[in-house]
Amino acid sequence: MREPSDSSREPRPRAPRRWLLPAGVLLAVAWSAAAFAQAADAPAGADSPGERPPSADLFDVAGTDDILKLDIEQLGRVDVVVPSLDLPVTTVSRQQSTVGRSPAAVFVITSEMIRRSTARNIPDLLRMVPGLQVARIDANKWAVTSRGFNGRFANKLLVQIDGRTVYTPLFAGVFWDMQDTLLEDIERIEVIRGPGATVWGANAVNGVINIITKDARDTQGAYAQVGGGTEERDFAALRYGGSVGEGFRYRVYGKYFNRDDGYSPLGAFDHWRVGRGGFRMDWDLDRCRVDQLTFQGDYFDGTTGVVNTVPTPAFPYEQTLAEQTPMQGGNLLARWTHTDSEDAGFSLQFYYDHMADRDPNAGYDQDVFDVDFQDRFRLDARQQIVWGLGSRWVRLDSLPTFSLVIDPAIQRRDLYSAFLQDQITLVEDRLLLTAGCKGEHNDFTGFEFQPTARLVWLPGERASAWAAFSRAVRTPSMAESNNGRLLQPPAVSGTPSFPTLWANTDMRSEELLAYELGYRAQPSDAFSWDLALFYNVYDRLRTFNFVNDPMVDPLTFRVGNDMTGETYGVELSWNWKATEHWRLSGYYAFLQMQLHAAQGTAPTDENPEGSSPQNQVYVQSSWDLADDLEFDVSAQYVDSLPSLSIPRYITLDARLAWRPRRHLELAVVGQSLLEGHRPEFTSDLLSTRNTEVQRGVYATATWRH
Amino acid sequence: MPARSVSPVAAQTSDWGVISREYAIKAAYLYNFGRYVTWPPEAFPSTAAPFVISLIGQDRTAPYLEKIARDGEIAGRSIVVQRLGTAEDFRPCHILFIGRHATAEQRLEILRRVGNLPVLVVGETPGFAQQDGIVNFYIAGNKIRFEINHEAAKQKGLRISAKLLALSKIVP
Repeated sequence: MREPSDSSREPRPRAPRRWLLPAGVLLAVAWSAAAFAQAADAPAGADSPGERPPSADLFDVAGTDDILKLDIEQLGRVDVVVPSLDLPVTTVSRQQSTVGRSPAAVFVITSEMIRRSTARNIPDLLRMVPGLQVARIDANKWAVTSRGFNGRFANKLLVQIDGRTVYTPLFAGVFWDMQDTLLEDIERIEVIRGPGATVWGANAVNGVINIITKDARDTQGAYAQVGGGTEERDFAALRYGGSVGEGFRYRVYGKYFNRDDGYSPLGAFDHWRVGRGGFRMDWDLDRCRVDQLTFQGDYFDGTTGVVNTVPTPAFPYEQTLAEQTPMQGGNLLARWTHTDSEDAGFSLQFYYDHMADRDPNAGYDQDVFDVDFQDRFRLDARQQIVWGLGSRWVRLDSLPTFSLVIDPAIQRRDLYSAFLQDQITLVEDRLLLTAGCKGEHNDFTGFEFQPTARLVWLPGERASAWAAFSRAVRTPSMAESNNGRLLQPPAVSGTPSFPTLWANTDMRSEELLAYELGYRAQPSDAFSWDLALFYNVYDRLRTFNFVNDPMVDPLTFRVGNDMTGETYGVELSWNWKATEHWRLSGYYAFLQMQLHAAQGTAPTDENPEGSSPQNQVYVQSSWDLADDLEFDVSAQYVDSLPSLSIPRYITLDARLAWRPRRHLELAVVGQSLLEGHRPEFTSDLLSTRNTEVQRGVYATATWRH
Repeated sequence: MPARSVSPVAAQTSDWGVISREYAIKAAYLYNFGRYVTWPPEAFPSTAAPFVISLIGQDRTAPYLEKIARDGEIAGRSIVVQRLGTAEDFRPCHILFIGRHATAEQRLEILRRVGNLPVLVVGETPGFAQQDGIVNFYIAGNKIRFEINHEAAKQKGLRISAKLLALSKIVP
């Protein structure tokens, strides 16, 4: 086949660097504010440190005046922390901070929320996060994104597990069927909606998810779980954590699960069976947490079922096959963390990751080797610096088939990056500015610059407001940027009229300019709320452009960058501790997308407008009926997806857990209780049969010692 | 169940954000230490000399202490709070609080300067009372506790009241 020409691509005037202006204005404002703050401070600063004026009024936390008057015996009875917005997060700035001080839309899933959830895998856990769109394609495939552009190959959300990126540069996205760990060992999942590219790099465009597992010191002892049910057929997990000497702790785990097929009127073959094992060792070299070494690794092996309709070279030119797809992978990670003080320290991390998918239509092997260094220090009383360097080497070996060719079949991609971020205290405990930039070089699009400026204002300890401007890019995947092509099943049955998608080695990065605002407050110890608003402007979004060449089939497309778009939305979440034993939480999320594809692009290019729900509502109730009895209910409304013809739905999950003994927990869980089955999404790009989510019930017995 | 590890950072409640009152509580403790410890007479140059509390590496406790100092007194003496920017700023004082933001070099340098002076050295990092200091804060069960190295205090001529010792964990 002759390679089609490029004639259909309309030359678009290259946008001047539009991000320079707003970034410049924000930086100039911040700079003058910093200079002003420093000037105002100068007389005090010139004196000896002992003579700084008292500034205690800045710290008026409710009730602290009373604390200062307590006698020494009463002090021992005061609770250090009372409920508030100060949940720890590290994803926003790559250093320890709190939700309340973070100038970004942050949501944290804690280990307690995981324990009380009905989810048995990571994507299902993410349904409780405001501003994410989570939909199941079949029992082992998901579409997960943040702030729109959902799909199986949703490419604007960066996902990491313990600092190891699981976003694959092959198809640009996350293969959720391969991502898992022992849920019990997750410390927290930090989710940032909006760009995180300045510290995390390319593809952290619409969001970043960081899954952080517990230190081995927090998983000492044994843990065992067995269970089974109608959909989650059978599963078991075992973990043991121990120590050698005083500073060396370890854990090892193994787990297995077998998930049933979903529902399809055409017949379903989409089971999911995986065995997984891993370890983590944390070695506190000097026993006071100055130098710490972490080694960890996982290995998994499993199969997924898939029903693919694929083109064939001979009549009838297509066939539908139900296939078992073996997959396996593993990783090894080493990290050295040195801590001088809370403000200073560095870390050095290496990892190797391997994944292999033996899908007969799109099989591949991927190897990633990554080195990352980061350092933080206090420049002066007002400035905290974080900087880092990183390299990643990716090798991809794909299996050419009649339908999918990645050419060359063996590819390498090298990535080098550096970032610098400065957190400037403009007014102590009142106004903080975070400004930074990541520079990154990749083999395909060269240098990419991803700056951000974020301002957070703390009117008191119980509220914070923030604003941010950022630029982020999504770099082309290996599948988009090569000399190969993807054939679709025939447009007319029984004829070899295969719609063809050609990759394009000249594909450029997609670009986002994001404007964000947020406010969070905690009017009382029992109630808090968090509001985030965003306006995203995209340029050079991926399109499939018609190849106007009489020599090729009329349904021949070539990857291009000929779409712009705007999205905006609102995410409101809240948390209410109604009584000592009853907690209610939830969110409302609104999303609007407007895409503008240039002429000559495929009519489906604007489909993402209708593949993410416009409205989503989630409510969760966690109720302690007695000291040993928990009852949890969650309900969710998800709007229709017009471009995929998926109707809106309301669903309900429930969990009842009883602790008859100190170490034993028995639970019964119901999932999707309101309907027999419901479709949530369809497959894109590859013609994979989607299935519907079915009502399910399972029971577990968990032993912790 | 394994015991929860003692962390220098505020303990986190499991499923819920928090407001930390750690700094206010520590300030109130430092003030109370002044009331339950007796310094040798040579620690005060004159009868009118103030009671001096110095802090390094912990700016957030200082405002609360300054608030206490405004109208409080210890053994009839007014209270002066000194914030030290560097270890070189150290001048003789009665209580020295070395916060967790102090670097290892700062900590070593200031302890070298303290030497054998009758200073109640207070820290908030694991192992501090065993190695360099006299009193160390830690958090357990969402309460601030402290450990006292009684031997080290005696060597410096500091007399710690029985009440304070009873509330503390004695190390090593």
